[in-house]
Amino acid sequence: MLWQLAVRNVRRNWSQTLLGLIGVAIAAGVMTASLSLGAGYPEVSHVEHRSLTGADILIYPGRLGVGVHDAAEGAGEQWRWSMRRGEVLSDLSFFQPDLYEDGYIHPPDDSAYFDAEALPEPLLPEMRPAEVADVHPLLKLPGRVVMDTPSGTKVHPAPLRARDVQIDHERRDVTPYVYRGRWLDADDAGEYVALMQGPRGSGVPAEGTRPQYPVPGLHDSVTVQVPSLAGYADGHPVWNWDDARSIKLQVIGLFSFRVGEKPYIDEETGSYVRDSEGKMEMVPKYLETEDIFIPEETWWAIWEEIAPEGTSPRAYQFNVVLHDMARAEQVAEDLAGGLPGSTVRSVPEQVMIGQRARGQAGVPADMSTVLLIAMFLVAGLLLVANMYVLIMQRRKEMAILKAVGMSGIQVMGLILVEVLFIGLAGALLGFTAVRLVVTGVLLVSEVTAAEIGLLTLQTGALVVGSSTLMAALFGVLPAYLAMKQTTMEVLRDA
Amino acid sequence: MPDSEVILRADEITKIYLVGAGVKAVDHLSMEVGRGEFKLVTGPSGCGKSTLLGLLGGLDRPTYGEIYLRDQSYSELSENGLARLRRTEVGFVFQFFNLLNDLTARENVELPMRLVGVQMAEAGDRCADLLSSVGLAERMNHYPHEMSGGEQQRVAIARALANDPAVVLADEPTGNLDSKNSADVMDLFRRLNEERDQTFVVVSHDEAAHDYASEIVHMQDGAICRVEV
Repeated sequence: MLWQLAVRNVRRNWSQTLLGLIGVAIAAGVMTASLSLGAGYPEVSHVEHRSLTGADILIYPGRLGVGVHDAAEGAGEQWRWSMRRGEVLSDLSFFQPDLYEDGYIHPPDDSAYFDAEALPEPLLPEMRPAEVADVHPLLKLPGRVVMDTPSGTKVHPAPLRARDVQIDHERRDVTPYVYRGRWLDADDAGEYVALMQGPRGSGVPAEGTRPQYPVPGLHDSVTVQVPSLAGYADGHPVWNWDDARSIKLQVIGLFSFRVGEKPYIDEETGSYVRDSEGKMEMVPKYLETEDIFIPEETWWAIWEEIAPEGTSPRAYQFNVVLHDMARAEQVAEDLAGGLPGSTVRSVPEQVMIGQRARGQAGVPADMSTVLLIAMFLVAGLLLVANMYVLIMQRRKEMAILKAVGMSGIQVMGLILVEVLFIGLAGALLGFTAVRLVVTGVLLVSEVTAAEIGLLTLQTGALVVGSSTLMAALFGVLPAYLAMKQTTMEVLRDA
Repeated sequence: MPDSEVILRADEITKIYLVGAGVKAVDHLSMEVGRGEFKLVTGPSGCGKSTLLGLLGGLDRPTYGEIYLRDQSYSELSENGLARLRRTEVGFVFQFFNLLNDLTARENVELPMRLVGVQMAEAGDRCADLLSSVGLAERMNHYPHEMSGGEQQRVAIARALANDPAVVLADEPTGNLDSKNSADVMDLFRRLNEERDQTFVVVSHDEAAHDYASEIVHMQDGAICRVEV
């Protein structure tokens, strides 16, 4: 009965409740935008990282502390990287290039390796969370590109990285990032073909940026020296460069992963460059890697050649691929619980940490929270004012309801239900409007329709839930006023 | 005072409104209403008639004194208890009808039934009976604004009877009606009183209403100054 009356009242008074409804809609819209495009899940910016790493969740051996300054002090659990550039065998460098540059990304102890052929128990198919589609080790070998240039032979670090062409094909749409040529496909399994980072944009790499080797042309043949594995000492691989194999790979594609823009810094002055209007000049930012991507089968063939028989490779990272990337955070949390000795990070989280370390995300994230709170307050006050006016106009109705036997609490409940309807309608309106725009943006990105659907549901639940709750909280005051309406005097008047 | 069961009793009730120095709207008033009685309360404007009706109906609480419906003391009831009492034991009729304008005649009459948990189908049947008994069988699905004043008041009477109350309290029920409609409403009250043994307490300063009452209570300054039987 209460619900029927409330629905009828909202319908009847819709023009008078419009102000409150619009307030809630705006707050819900701002929250949707904030969650969709801000600190909530910047999906679009993660697509490139996910494609490059081939994973949604990364698992590192040992405890990983993050923070450039702490690392600089050499405190606690920070890692000291003692390997030469080009031999970093995890993806940390993608997310935290500063740590990579400064050399603080490697664990000092022996436990900081996984046996690539033996999954830790929580990652075994029968033990892992249902959302996990695949788990595979990050397989890398140190390598050096040897190139003949007019000024002589140049040698540059170039680790060989295995790509599971099947997973890439099924779950990663990496094709858009191939600047020239094509990505690996199923027919490449076991072939000596390679993808390398190509020039960014239309030019050649700027001086001082990776990769430092001259970019080969498409279909060129590149020679990569790969050291033989002498064995393991204290768990660390011992590479023998004196017994290096020369592997010839045919370049079938050049890739370039653009992940946004960054301020342009004048190298001489070390300060930001601004245009005549004082606006900061921005330059494209790319994920940078010296890795040469080869099919996984080819990687294993090279491993057979360089490693003593029966030796299992070491992995510095396990890659977890999810059926549904939207659950990355939750699954990462579950896995972290099962792997207490390891560090489990989702790609979105890793990207965010990387951005924070470079001071790129903190302020906008904080501002969006402040903005959100302000919006909710304004919306709530609008709703209170709106409902107050409405209740003053409906004093007689409240009195009649009391006269026919409604208790004060029931009258209060009726008003609260009405406010809830207004909150719900406003929240749905604001959410739908903004989310449609966001979905349009996501659709032209590489985020899958299933992920968009789930993210929409998750955001929707959060936005609609919190907006409606806000409306209910702010509705208590007008509902209380309605409950306290004096009855007999009102009923006596015309 | 008819020799019948007393169903409503006011015992030395006083109602003071805290306006300025305090206004005594009802002053040490005692009265009894017997089952099947048709009591008329009359008196000049501002003498406390409507306030008395609000107190008897549990819409307001006396500052002092006690009211009993059968043996149930109002002061022992919580707000919810009073609301329950209004739902089940008291029916109100007002001068300005006080129907909910967005509900049809049938829905207005169904409302008190639905509040006590009567199922939709049963409420519909009972409502049809009630509206027929007040001569509005053909107007069940009309909204108040589509009805005349007399018709609206008959809907209000049907609503007051919805849960078969112990007493119907009517505050100037003919005050907003022409003489013919006033007579119709009072005739209806008398018929319900006679046929259903329905108890009425009617506040009115309409002289014509005197003919219908079994007892007339005259009020002055919040107190009973005279009773005519």
